[in-house]
Amino acid sequence: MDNKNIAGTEQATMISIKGEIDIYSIGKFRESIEERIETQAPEIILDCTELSYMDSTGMGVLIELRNKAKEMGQKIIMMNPRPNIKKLLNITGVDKIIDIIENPINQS
Amino acid sequence: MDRIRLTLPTKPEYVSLARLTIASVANNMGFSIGDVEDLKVAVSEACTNALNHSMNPDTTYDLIYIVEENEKLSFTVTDRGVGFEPETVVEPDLNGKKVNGFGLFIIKSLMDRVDIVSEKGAGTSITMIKNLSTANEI
Repeated sequence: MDNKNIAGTEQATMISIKGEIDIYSIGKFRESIEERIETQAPEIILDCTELSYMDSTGMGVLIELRNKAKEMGQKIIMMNPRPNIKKLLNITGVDKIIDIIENPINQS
Repeated sequence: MDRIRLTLPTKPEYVSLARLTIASVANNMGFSIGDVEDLKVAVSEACTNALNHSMNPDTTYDLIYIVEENEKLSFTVTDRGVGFEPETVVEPDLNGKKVNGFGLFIIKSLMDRVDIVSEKGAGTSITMIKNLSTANEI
């Protein structure tokens, strides 16, 4: 996973997540979002355009961080998740508690 | 019927190897792109389960694929970990501090058949079956 591409504004901070999130890469994923939660931006946008794979390990951490962000008055948003990831978000009901947006500019 | 057996170290970096092998086997069998993605998730969840239940980081677990051409792909992940009682696994609570239980829930949602045999202190075996006839969606 490559998450070096971080862009921030006063309103939102953006993290580009690339590659695969599984039990191997989860530590780095958690760290990068936790770092963002410590910023003051009300919205943390995860650009998932180049995220090819995520399983329950990633979703578990995503939910924990969403709950943590919520306590801080922040919101985590997923942008452009691929169909395979969207399917899992739907099966697990995660799409009901984390906003998913489509940004046509970023879609390949 | 072809049988493929892999023995993987209980280390997180090798879970992707399970995904690569199942994708290759399923592609060769003619599964749809969507089904291949589902199979990758299912095998990865079962391997993650094996790692989480492992007592010793220097041990191994087994992955067996049984290819029944034009019919189905069966695969079993067997660990020698702590074991658990499958009926005690609760559905995940999305508002909880620590979210567990998603893995088996996802496997059961994606596969056509799932059998779990687990014995405390001896290990767990999860067998999953995906029928090729369902390969009609993307």
